[in-house]
Amino acid sequence: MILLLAALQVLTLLLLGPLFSTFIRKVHARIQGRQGPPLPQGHYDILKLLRKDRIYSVRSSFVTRITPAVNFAVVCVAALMIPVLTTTVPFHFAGDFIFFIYLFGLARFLTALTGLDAGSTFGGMASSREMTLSSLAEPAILLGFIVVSTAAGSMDISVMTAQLIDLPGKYLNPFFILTLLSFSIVIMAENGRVPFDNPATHLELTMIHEGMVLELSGRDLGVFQLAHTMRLLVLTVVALDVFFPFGLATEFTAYALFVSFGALLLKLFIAGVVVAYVETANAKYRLFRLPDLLTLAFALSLIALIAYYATEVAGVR
Amino acid sequence: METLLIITGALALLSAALPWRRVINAVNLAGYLAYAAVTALLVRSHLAGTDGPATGLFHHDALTLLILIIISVVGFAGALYSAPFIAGEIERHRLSPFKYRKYFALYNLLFFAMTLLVLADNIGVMWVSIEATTLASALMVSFDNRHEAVEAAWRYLLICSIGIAFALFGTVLTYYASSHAGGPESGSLSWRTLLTSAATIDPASMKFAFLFLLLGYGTKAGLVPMARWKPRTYGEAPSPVSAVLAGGLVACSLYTLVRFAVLCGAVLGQATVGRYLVFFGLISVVFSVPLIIAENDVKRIFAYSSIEHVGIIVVGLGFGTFYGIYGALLHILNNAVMKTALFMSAGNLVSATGEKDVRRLSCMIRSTPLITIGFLAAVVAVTAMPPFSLFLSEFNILRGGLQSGGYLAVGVLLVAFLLVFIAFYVKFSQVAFGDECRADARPVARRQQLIPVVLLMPMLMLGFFIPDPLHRLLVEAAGLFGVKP
Amino acid sequence: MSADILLETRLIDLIYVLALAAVLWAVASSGIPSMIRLFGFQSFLLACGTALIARVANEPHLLGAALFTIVFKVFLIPLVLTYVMNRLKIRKEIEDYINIPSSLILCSLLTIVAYAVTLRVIQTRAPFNVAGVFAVALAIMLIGFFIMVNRKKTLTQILGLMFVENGVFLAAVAMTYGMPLLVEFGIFFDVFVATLIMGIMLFKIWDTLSDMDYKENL
Repeated sequence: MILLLAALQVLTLLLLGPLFSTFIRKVHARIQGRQGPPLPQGHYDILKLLRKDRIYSVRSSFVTRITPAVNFAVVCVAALMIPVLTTTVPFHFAGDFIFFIYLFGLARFLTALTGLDAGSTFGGMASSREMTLSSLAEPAILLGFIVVSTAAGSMDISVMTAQLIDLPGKYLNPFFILTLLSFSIVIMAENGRVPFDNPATHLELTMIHEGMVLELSGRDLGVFQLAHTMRLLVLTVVALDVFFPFGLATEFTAYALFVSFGALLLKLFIAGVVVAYVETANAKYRLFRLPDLLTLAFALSLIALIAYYATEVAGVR
Repeated sequence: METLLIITGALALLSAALPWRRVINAVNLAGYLAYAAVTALLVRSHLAGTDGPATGLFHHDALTLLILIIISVVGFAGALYSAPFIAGEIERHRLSPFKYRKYFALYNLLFFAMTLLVLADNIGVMWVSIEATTLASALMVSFDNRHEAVEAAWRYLLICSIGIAFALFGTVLTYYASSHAGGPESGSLSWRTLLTSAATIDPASMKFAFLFLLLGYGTKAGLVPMARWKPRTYGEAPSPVSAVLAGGLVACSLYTLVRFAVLCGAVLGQATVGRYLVFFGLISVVFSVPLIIAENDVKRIFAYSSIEHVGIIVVGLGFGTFYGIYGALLHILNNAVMKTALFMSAGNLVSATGEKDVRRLSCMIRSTPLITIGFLAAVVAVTAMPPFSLFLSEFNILRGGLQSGGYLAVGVLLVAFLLVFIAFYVKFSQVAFGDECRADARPVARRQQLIPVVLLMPMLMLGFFIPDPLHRLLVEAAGLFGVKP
Repeated sequence: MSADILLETRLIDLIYVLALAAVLWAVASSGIPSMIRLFGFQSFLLACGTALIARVANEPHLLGAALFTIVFKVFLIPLVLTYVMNRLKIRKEIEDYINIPSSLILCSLLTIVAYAVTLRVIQTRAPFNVAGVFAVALAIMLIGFFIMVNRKKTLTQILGLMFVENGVFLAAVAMTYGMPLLVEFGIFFDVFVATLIMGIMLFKIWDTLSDMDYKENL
């Protein structure tokens, strides 16, 4: 049963990953008055890349060879830890959100090294920027999770979600709104969306994510792109399912799963539109302004925590 | 008592509307004479016990009447002094003649707000009035559009607005504290009601409120560390504006501080409130004295002196004994009239010579005798030399301090008085009797020169004997604190 | 009926925390136009919250206060400030003494202080979360004061003062259901006139400054 669930989750996210990214691109294009790519375009691109040859720089080491695989593995493991269609997840333990965050930290570490690996300057610049931003983003997302776990009374992502389904009036709970805002900012940062990084840019001087993978090609690049799109999806699904857990199946029946899948599609649809809108409405910020935003996310989570503690726990009502 | 408000309001409107200078002057002078007359009548009826029934919004007691006396004197003298001064400024800086009407409209608006302040019973209305005085006076400070004056006005406006915002918060907290017992509808903004029901007010919130009120209204009065705006503002504003601000407005800000000190004393106990007052007062005195010694611009020196005297008054209030409070209240009166005279005479000096730096003035007695006499008299009065009445009020404050056991505070005050006296003597004797005599002096209107001298005469008289009505008012006002002779 | 009140209570909580987020965002923002917009947004939130409290606590005069807030603080004051900014061509970037991430951390600390103080001062029970709203009000006051102290440009200092006033208004609404309508009107009017006069002062400073360098620092 668990195996079936695990396979189901990974498969869903695998398929939906490129779809989600392409969907965002399409909405972005539509807002700008263009047609935008057809929805399966993301899949086509990855499949195309998978068929191509790999070229490695003579200076690169084993790091470049293992990074795509590790990234993909990390995302799949992460996919196993979050509630996608059901409230029970294949792989969970108390405090697993810390593991979750640091899984991505491992992937980021290897990716940053890959950027440095081939000895090109653009890769190095991108790696250093990525590490700067993530050093600020990590505390913010960690604190956000801590707020949610305080409110739900558990440090286990799946248990948190289950608790939150029943919590009354949670949507209007001010702490959630703040934490949701904070999460959103951090998710945009982690996945290299505008205003943190422009995913469509081809100017190496402004790249963060693209810069690190400049040296990857062929199958490696294909796997990496798949992992990247899945990562966006995984983080978005975590946010959506923790904050808006309606529709999640509490039992393992086909009907419940069907409803849950539909709810997931709906939530992703809305999230995609919101992300596209934010991307359109903002330009990429200059690098020195990004810490401001990330610290704002951290401050918002901190305020949410204080407010929660002061009113609910200390009994000031 | 509402007639007072009507008088000042009408003066404001008329000054704005009428285009002829002489008419404006005449109307203003007549108006302020009427103001003084009404005040005198109010004092008489109050002391005779035949006050009219208190209407809902307005209320006056001995404290109000004291400040009304100050306002009427300062208002009248200020209007008399302003007329030739502003006319001169308009000529000198080539400002538009419309400015004359604008100045007097603002002047009367300022006094309207001050009158509203002391007559209002509602602490919310008190707040609105103080904010209005800040706004009106800021425009007056920047009147001649010199860059330094405008910048000083900006600083004044900003710092006082922050202070006032804090005071508003304190007011809200007071309202809350009074409603704590009976639920939110039972709170009151009426000072009278608050005082009589002081026992039911929540002390925890009130303590908090007192802090904010002290900081907020203290900014307006000029307590350190919030008084950063004073030197520049009093220094750069036109002299009649500085005079009215230092005389009238300081008295009004102190009025609010006294009202809230009484209220908070009733709720929190006089000792707690007194401690804070003495603390802030002493640091104001201690910080202003070195600055008096170091400063060379004549009007800024007097600004620091204003900070010092506000500190002295607050210390006197903080002592909490009869003589301390009596002395402090008398000092409010003395300080107001004396500072007005001081700034006016300084203004005369500056107008005559165009020089603000005391180091460059000397032997003025030869070239401008009347001005110099007025100036010297004002300086002597401010340093609390007998027989001027400032000596009497400071003596009472010290006596009150000894009575309450604040020996350290009394010691600090004595040292401060001495230092200021020496500083003033050194600086200003040079100005009056120095060696190099200047021959040139610009003509200054005779009226302008006389006013400071005339103002100081009652101060001289008060040094010898305090007329009975005044004494009774002072005792009654001190009685608000619960102390008796 | 009680479910309705619960919904409104939650809404009130939500609105006020968003107001706090707005002032934090203002600390994080580096442009004057966005700060003005955040102030307008925050004032709008406050007006909605006041209207909600009017319903929950049955105090119809608060609706008047909400109306004043909208007229003065959502429309008039931002209008005046934008006009001053455009006329004087004030440069829109902000300079400060403490950089933005550090000031955000500092403001979080200030919020903690506000909550700590609230726990000492407020003990009443009320139809809505008085203490939470008061804490937010105090936090907005402290953060607004911080903005005034931290920024070098005059227009942002005025904005900081406006935030402080918003915080005080919020505290009044939370603790005492506002104040008598006449007093409230007087306060609003005073604040508006203060903004006008500050604008006039800025014009005067601009006019009397001959040195171009100083004008940049306005």
